[in-house]
Amino acid sequence: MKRMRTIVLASALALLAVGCGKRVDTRVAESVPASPVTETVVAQAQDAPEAETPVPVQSTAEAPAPEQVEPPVQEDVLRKRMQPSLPFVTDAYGCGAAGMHGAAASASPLASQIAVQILEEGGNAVDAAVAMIYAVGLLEPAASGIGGCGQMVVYLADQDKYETIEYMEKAPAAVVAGQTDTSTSSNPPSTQAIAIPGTVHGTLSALEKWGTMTPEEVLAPVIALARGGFRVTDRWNANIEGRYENLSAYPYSMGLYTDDGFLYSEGDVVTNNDLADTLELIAREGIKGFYDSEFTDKMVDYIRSQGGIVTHADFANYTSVVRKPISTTYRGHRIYTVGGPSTGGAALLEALNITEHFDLASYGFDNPITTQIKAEAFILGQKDGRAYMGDPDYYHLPVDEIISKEYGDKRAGLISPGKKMRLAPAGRHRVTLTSTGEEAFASMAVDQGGTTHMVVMDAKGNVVSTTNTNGINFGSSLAVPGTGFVFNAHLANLTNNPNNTVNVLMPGIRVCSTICPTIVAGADGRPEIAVGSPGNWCTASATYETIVNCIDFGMDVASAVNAPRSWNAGGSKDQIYLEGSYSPETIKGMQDLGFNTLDSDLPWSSHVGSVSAAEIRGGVYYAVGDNRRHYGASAY
Amino acid sequence: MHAMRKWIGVVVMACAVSLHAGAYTMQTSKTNHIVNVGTIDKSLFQTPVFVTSFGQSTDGAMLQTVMKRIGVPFTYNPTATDSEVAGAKTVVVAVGASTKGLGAAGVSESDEVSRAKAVMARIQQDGIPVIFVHIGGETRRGALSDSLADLVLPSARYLVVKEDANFDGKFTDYARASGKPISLIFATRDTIEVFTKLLK
Repeated sequence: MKRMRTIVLASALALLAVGCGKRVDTRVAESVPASPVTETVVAQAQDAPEAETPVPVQSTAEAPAPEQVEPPVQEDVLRKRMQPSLPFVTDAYGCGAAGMHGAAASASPLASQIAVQILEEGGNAVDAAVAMIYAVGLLEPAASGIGGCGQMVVYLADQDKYETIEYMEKAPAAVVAGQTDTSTSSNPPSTQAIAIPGTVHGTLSALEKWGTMTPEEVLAPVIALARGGFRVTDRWNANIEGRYENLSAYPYSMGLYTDDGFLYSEGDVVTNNDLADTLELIAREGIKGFYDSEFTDKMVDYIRSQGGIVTHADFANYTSVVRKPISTTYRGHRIYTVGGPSTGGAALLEALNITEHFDLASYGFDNPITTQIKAEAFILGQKDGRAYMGDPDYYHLPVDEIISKEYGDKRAGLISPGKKMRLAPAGRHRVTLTSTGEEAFASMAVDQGGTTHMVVMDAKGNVVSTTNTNGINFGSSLAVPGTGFVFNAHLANLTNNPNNTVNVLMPGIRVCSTICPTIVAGADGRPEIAVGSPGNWCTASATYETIVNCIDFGMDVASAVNAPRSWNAGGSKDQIYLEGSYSPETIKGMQDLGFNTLDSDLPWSSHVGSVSAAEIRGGVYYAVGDNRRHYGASAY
Repeated sequence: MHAMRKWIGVVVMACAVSLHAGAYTMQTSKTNHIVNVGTIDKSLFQTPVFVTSFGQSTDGAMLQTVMKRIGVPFTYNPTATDSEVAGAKTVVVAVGASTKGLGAAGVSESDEVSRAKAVMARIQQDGIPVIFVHIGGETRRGALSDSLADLVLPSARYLVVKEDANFDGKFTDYARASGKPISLIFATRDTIEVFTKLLK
């Protein structure tokens, strides 16, 4: 009896296992009746039968193909090398990592892993950041890449010095305000909106100045990933969906990112051998290989054949620039970020100077008054950044005034806790045009000269915070056949109105952008936090909120990034994006104050940026990517 | 012996429940991209076809690509109104809601549902043959997508579904119950092959 029971139980378990496992659903096939006058559609037959006799078909399953041994997908190889994070990290979404030697965060956990791999191989934070910039360009091509631009803030531990390298795109010599078509609202965006990209120049210059490895060494893992394959994610498809019509205008571009015009399934393996070839050229021939070579002619010829106005000379004249960071203090910390042509850096620092006048901690984090103060402080900063920041080589900008403590005092007086501000005006400053472009361009000729954020910290104390961008997702959507990347359409960020205060379209002017990679230093002057975000003006607002969360509310970076955020879109409708993860009391409190809350029915808003951040605390390196866009970190 | 029978009864019931509640298993695969079930009167679908979208996902635009590739005369209007589909010979509806797509089209969810209802009412009134297409996969199986699908399915003469969207058997169950033919596809690009057979 006992034996029989055992047999029955074993059979039951076996049946249960079958039930939970594979099961072919044949129900439909069994029940569809044949129509009296029908034609069978047999998708895999050579020709659909035209006979009138119905031939009902139930399945066209083929015999399985013989098993082939496929080479491993490079993504899987990379993932195997990822080290488990230290166990005491608090990150509810699996987007964080901690280690004892270094850490990195970016839009892709794979790119973060490449950065950590570079660190493990002896590279410093700059080496790792450069590798990561190219890896993100491969894995998140909508947001950045070698057809775009960026800015980088660096802390060099051995010199105890903060630096920035600015590699924003520059306008071609042929632009004319009021005549050049810089529209990105057309389908596809105007090819005249293509500016000279800065990423290759900026990253290779950073590597040469502050790195320890060669371009070949830092690009090797990216090239291997481009050739060996990586898997399609939901973000990959979502980005393509958003620009499908634009990409459709260029069959080569569409072929780079889709399955012959159709979205891949998540998990499908994609390669980009053309980009790998381009990266090999860059590794081998450096800046000249991209900006002044036959490859340059190839890019220029194709862009011009599509109506663009760039020339070989525009590329050859491109330079990135090392600039001093702009900075202010905030409750005993020093904040380092980028100045012009970024508009966001000054906005961020002004907002922090204003916020310093309010004891946010006394109200608490999840509180309508705290949220009101943050929203209003930020929009005051945003108004000035937008109105007065631009290319410092073309304008004398009032940046020192905007980020001064005195000005912050004055602007703080516009905020009344518990009472919504009626107007959020820009201040009154003077901007002087110092160049119209022609002179600058002439001197350069003699001299020959969508957005994503990433951070790296290394064991020697070096830190990099860098934001890179195509402007809008996939930029112009134009990729030159055989090159593997799309060009920006970033001239749209400049104005065709010659009477505008700043950022007027001129030959050689640098494109403005809200990007503001940032490093927060402690009282000893050494970096504590590296932070930044994409997202138009959310680049600055999300960075601002993360810093406030860490400093005012004592949050670790993971908690600070994952905490509910807002973005004050302002305008006549008083709109504020306010995530539904705030308490109902805070959301209602903001509504009672007169704010028109948006996205408050969603736990995550797509309008509040997507932060990458890292910090060093107690000798441990923490990095976190924002779950809002499925960012990811790695550490060792 | 009585106890033994009782045991067997319990086990059989457990197995039955397990089998019934088991997850839907894919019929398509990497080596078998398309599974067609049922038969169809191909003469129903005359050209030119009218392609529209319910939900404003990219699937409508991808159907436009399909029609171009296979050389079928077509009109593509993702926000077509009931009067615009009137008189069409065949209507192909790409169902799949995209918040981003709705936003880009400047259409609210309720407006989209209202338009879909009006279009389907006109299609029923005019007796226009409809091909139901759901090629956005599992990510296009939210409440709005499903409600839009439910508006189209009763009038559909043929279903084309990327099979990962059928994870709960929704579409194959409907096809079985209604006796309508269905093509299950493994990858979005398989749509080309299915429509070549349907319309060429």
